[in-house]
Amino acid sequence: MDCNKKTFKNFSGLAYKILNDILALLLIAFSLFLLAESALPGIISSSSSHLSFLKLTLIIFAVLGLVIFLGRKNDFQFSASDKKNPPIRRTGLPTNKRAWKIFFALTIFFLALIANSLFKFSPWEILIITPFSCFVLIYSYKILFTP
Amino acid sequence: MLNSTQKIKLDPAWEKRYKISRIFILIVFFAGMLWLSYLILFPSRYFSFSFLHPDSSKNNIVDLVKIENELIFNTVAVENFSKAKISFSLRKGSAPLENNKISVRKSYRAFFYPIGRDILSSADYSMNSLVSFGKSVFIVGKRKKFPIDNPLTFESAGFSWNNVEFADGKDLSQYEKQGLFNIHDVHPNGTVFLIKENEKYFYIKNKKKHELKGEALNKSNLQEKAILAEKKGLELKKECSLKKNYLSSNRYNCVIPIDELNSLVGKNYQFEVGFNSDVEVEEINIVLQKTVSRKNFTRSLSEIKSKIFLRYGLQQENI
Repeated sequence: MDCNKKTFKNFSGLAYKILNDILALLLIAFSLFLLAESALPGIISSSSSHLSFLKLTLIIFAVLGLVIFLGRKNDFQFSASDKKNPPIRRTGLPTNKRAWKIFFALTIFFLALIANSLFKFSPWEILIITPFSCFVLIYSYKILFTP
Repeated sequence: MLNSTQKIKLDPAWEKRYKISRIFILIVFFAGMLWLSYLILFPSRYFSFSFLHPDSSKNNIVDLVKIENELIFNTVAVENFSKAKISFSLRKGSAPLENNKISVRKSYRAFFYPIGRDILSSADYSMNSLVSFGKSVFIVGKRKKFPIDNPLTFESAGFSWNNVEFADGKDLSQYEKQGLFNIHDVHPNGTVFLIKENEKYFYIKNKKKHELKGEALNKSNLQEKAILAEKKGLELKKECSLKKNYLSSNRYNCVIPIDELNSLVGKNYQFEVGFNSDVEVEEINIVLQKTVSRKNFTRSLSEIKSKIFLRYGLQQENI
């Protein structure tokens, strides 16, 4: 019985780890596709590639759902929910080297998307949109992270 | 690779299984990315027309006409392709299509129009102009204006940015606004084509092309405003003979190599197939394909580069 329990625990752990890896790869692919689409609309989603962003999003959510389900079932903790050594402070800034790396990668990714989306606007429109967007972001950040 | 589950420990045997699975997932991921790159760099375009549902919005084979014993139809494709796979599905009881020839040529749909009577005086016709207003460019003429939907449509229609006039002082409101001119649209009335090989001018009016002769050639900016076309585009035809499909008795198909058509100007492929009146077609399918070769690879990269330059409004030499 114990042996069965151990096997099941190992199997769940293996599935959980694999699903996490799949999720990471799907998110990397999704980010790359978004960047490519913003630079040249249709390059990925054109009829030739047969890739649907809707289907990809649904797959990502399905994998995410499975990760959460297995995590709760086996009491696996996300590193983000590690209360003793959290990767993100209450202020929203990372605490360790790895979290900083992800933070910078995400910042560059969002800046690239934002810069690209502003490309077609005239300079005065950018001058209005940018401070307004910054204000909304800072305000949201304060609501979310201020203790 | 990121490993967010380091803290979850497995037994050594299971850890080994995990490492193997991880390598397998990575191989699948890179294979998927390679496959996607292949589809982007060597794209195929699919066209179809269903005679059972002739009004369906899915039909992207356009301008189907039957003239005597010939069926003529058109497709639009901006990229260059290596081959065209054509297949006809026939209704039960239809006469066969075995060995019937199908040919394809490449130019602009309006340039394929039949020849009408000559125009001899410049007072007998008025040319379209390209006018920009704000960020939009319009084809303006004959009391009508057609807004062009994007730069790709503009360039694929053979228009030149040098011919775009600014709307300053020109009241565009007096022109009746038409629907967006997109890549599938045919050049409107008022378009002038200039044949590269013999410097003849043709004016498009009511689905006919009229040659401009004599005094009609004295119009100012005629050469600048004309769209360059090629006589070769009308004459060079590639063809194949339809053969019965091994798997389906009602299906006939063949493949036409169309590499030679790539150098021609135009965005439309016009197909002509000869058959008797007792042939009843259910569906036509066409696939334009790019084969894997070094030449097509560099050509695809160059096409992607041109599209990016066009999107960001950058100047590029030797597009």
